[in-house]
Amino acid sequence: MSAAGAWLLEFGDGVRAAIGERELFHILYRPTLHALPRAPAHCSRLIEWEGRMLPLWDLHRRLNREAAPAAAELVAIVGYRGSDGSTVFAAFGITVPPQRIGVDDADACDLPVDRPAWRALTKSCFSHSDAAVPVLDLASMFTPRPC
Amino acid sequence: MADKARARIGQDHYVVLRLEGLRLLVPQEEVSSLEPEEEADMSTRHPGAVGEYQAHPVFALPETLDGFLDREGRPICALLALPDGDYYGLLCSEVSLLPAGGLDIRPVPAIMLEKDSPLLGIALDETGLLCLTSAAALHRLIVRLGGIELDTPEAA
Repeated sequence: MSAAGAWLLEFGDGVRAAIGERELFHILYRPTLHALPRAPAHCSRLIEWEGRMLPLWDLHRRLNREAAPAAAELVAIVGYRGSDGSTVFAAFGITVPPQRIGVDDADACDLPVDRPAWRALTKSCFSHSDAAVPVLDLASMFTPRPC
Repeated sequence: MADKARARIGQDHYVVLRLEGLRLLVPQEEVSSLEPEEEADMSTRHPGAVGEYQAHPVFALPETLDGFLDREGRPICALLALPDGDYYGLLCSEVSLLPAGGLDIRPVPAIMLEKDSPLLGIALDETGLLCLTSAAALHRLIVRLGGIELDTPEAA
């Protein structure tokens, strides 16, 4: 049995997910958003962070095909290891500051069945406070699929 | 796509074509002329076009680049030159010139890019986001949206 740390992210309207403790880099409050035309509805805005232009994911929209009732005023800068070994950065709109939690192997559970789209976005799921919390697969989410 | 963006950095100036909140960067040599919108003949219609200027179709695109608009609020017609020597007009709300030297043009994040996107790169200045495109890339989008196809080669 092994334990690890994770960050719990809230995306609005009860949508929650976790990322690894080393995958969160920065939290921004109301950064300037830049709309990009002809981009997917769930990833149509960019933010500037430390000289980089990062895609901003709206996970609530991706799962529910509509914007969250309350606008996400916080942005979580996340990073994952790219195919060349370098860290690739991206961003999520979130509604409250991330919460650090501990996760144990024994907490593993099935993905929530209410939103089938979780399956394409996650690599595992665990139970926390009597709720299933999907673990985001950042590399898969931010890598375009071949047409 | 990043190579295309980098290749454009060699240009001396870009023309910034503003479509309301969207600012498109087009290499200066691809903008043949700027004309008052009243000079365009709005009685002649090509598919997707609002009219024509000297027999070239004139289009009005929304800032979302997902369809066609009427001419409202677009006082300037930028006549864009395609590689084969053909032309088309694009109605703009504002046009300005920008030296290329100070621009740091980067690739569009791949996850945000559709197939055959008209966006060849992005840059930021003190006003906000600039989207690099070309006359040919915009024309391919216009054709995909249902606009008239001019006789142009595939390459941008």
